Amino acid sequence: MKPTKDSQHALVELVDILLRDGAVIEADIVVTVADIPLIGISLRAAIAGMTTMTQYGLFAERAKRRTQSD
Amino acid sequence: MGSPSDGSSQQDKSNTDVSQSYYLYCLIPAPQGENGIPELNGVDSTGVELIQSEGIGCIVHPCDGPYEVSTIDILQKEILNHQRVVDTIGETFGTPLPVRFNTVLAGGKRRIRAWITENQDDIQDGLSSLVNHWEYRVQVRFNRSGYQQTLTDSDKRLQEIDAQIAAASEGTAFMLEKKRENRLSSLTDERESEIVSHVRSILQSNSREFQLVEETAALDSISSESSDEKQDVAKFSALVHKTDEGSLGNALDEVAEIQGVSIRFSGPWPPYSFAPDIGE
Repeated sequence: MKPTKDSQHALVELVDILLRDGAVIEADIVVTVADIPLIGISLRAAIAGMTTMTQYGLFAERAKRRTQSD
Repeated sequence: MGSPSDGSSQQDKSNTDVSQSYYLYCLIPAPQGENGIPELNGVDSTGVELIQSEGIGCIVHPCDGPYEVSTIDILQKEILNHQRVVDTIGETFGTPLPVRFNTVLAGGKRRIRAWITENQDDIQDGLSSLVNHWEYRVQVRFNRSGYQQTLTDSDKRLQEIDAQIAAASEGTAFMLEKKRENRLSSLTDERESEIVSHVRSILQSNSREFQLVEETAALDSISSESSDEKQDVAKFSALVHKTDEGSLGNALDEVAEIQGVSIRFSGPWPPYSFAPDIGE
């Protein structure tokens, strides 16, 4: 089989990877708020307020994991 | 996303303005000679540029600070914008050292160049370690109903219990049903563990390193196979040399042929999960 990048599940993978991974730059020139990645704060707020995402089916797994961990 | 930038006038003053911030996509070996980077728009539809020093390039765009995301739609769009930049840079210059989404550097270009100089050994080591390697994701999904009949047919103990149930009174049959359920569940877990172990050995042979990202039961609402069926999932990320992609795919094909097992294989991604942190 050949790997895909453009299917819906690959897109979910991409979101998962990009929100969780990537080199972390530890330096005084990096802008953070209390060492918490800003995307984490805003995404949590966005997920809490959004129901349409699961209608798309796109973020269902992520949403479920978050619900379980909360 | 919510941070406005005013294009060329902002870029013009950025050389001297130490308050200018830059959104960082990835690090690369600096292009040689007159070669620049391709014309690209990234997050917030802002044009990306190159800041380089010591043979290392930072792919960035000027911004006013970190971005806030107000809706999932915007997040999805900006993640795709981010990825498109890193993908194009990777296709042009080889494997980049990708940094985490929404990393913003402050202090202007001069300060960023100084940071590169201070960390050049770490960055060069990171870039060298990732050359020609890309990240692949492998998801193993189990549809239990797909192979439980096979397990039932091949297990003598289950067949014995089935015979006992057929001959038992209602109360005893109820107890035996629970016994049967436990036996089948145990066999199923055993079977899934074997398959996951097999996938681990495939990854061991075809990747430089790999890691288990997640092992869970997922609600498979993104699949067209069955909208509400719970499936057990094991998800791995692997750092694979580009030339090993084919052999990995072929080996996974054999697993995907097992009844009740499906494989999702995605990539090649920039090696987000294997990029070393810089400046620890």
